[in-house]
Amino acid sequence: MANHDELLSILQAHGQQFLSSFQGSVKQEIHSGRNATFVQPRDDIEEEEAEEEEWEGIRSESEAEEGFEENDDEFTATSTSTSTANVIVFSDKPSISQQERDATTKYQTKAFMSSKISKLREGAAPELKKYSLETTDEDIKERSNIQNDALLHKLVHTKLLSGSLNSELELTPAQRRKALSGRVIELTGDAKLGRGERSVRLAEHNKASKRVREGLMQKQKERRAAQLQETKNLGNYHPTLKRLLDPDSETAKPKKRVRGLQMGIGSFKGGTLKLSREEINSVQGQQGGMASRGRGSGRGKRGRR
Amino acid sequence: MAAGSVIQYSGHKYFRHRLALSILSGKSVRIDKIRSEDKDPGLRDFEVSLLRLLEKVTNGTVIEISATGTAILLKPGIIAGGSLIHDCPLSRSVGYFLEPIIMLAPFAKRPVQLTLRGITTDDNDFSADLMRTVTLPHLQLFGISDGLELRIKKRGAPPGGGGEVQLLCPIVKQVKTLNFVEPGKIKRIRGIAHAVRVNPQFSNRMIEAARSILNRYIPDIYIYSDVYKGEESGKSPGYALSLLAESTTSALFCSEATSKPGVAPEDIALQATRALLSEISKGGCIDQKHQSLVLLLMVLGSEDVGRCRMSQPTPRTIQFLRDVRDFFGTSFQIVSIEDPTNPNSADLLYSCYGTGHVNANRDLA
Repeated sequence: MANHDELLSILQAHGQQFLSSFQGSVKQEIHSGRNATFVQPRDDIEEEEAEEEEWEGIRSESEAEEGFEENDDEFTATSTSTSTANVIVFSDKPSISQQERDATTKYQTKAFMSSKISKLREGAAPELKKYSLETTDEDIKERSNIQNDALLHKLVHTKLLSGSLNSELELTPAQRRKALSGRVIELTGDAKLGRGERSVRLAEHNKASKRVREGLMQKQKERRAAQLQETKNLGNYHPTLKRLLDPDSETAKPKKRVRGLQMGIGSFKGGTLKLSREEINSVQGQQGGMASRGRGSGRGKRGRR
Repeated sequence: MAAGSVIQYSGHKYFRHRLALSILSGKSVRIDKIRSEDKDPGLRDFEVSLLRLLEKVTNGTVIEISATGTAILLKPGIIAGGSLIHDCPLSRSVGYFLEPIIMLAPFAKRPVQLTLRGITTDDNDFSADLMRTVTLPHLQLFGISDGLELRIKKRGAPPGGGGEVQLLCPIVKQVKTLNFVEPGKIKRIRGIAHAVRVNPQFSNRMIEAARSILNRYIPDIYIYSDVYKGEESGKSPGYALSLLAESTTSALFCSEATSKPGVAPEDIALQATRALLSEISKGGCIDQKHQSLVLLLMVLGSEDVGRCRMSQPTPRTIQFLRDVRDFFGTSFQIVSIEDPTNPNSADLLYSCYGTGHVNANRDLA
């Protein structure tokens, strides 16, 4: 028992120390007040549950809820009965603020009511991560880290210090030169990833004489035909792979030029001029629309007279 | 498919799952004595409409209906899928037609994009909301999730209808084996309350009434109020509440109640809530209405033992298991589970050896 009293007194001292950080003078009143009011909120909670069991209509339920919150404040008010200015609130502070709560519920609503089934099972974790309003430096660092990771990934896989510097490949000096210039073109953005060296070689082919050019094209054709035959022999061929293996599609087909006179509005096909709704509106001007337009036209009329 | 292997059934009951099993297994089925003693004998209009829908979804199916309509013979073709539109009669809701389609759609040649028009919320079948939030997530357990959608474009209450839903279902080569033995504890309850062509306060009243009971069990309850206006709200007034409960192991339980003339919305909500609580009390990982779907997908899984813990089978489920044995030759082993944490649980462990059904119809390109 003595031990128990000791522990109690230690606890009380700790509590008073904590309280004193908020207000200095009234220690003893708080001590007595807290003991007295500890019982009250529990009674209120039990009353609240009893009311909810017999559901008598919406009004009574909402009243009960308000009553609960009032009692919550009473708990704190009696403990600081002497001071009128400072109010200590011993309620649990919600871990997320109202704004965050709105954001999470909006996200959850969208996830639950979406027609995509894969979105229905989104757990609570990604929502909080997304809408945490503590977007501080950590968040910015996190985002730039992710971007850096993506960049690094891209670089590693396209070989930043490209095949031109890789001694294992045993490239001849000419090949090394072309590989490096190809990489440089990719890095500057003039070619897509992996197509830089190809563009360099194509440019060189164009510089060669007619005989050489024709010979190169002929050889490429033969090689492609042999590869197609190889894939068919191995059984890897499927008609949908035609586009991949077809040589003509490697250069993008230029878009078909629109034929005929286009007078600016609509398309003339089969003897009729086809107008879309937007085109009609843009020519006619919008009908029966906005109040300001009515007022404007009224002013115009009056002005004329 | 062996020539002449026709499986014979009688009666109008269990119509849909027998047709679905026939199409999946490729065995012809003959159903006779359909309401032969009834005042209006033969097939009803919704059953005929269902047969038409199955004809549209499949390719090469031959359906022969007798002159009086009391017997049909179905010779199944392949499940083609693709983009389809079907107008459902106003005697049953779209849930009646969606259930067998959901059983067939993952095994189609092309992904199914089915638009159904008619009544979306009804007493007899699942409403479109529950289909979207409970039935289709059960497909996710088996690996069918990418591109699975149910869009509710318009709502339609009986008797006028006027609703429209669109189902988009991807195709899979084979469904995964299920191993779902932990029911877990309920962690949250969600719901959808909707009201069409009535006072929108009705859905709020239903939500308040449902909360009054459910609040004392779990804090995490949210009931969404779904609003459809104008053209999209169908032709008749009505309101309904659909509730679902999700457990820590993502087991789903659901219930719903629709409006009846002369009954207050609060009573509808209480009916739905009590139905939900009784579903949860029955236990298991799958609720009673979805037992057939889950057992079917377990049978069609890869050649491995699939296990699932469920509550007592309903009479519909029992007949379904018998029909599965007729069509696929597989039977389930059902043992009761000894659960130390809950000695009163009457849960059963259903296990079966999958038939390794592979979707041979699917378009390889």
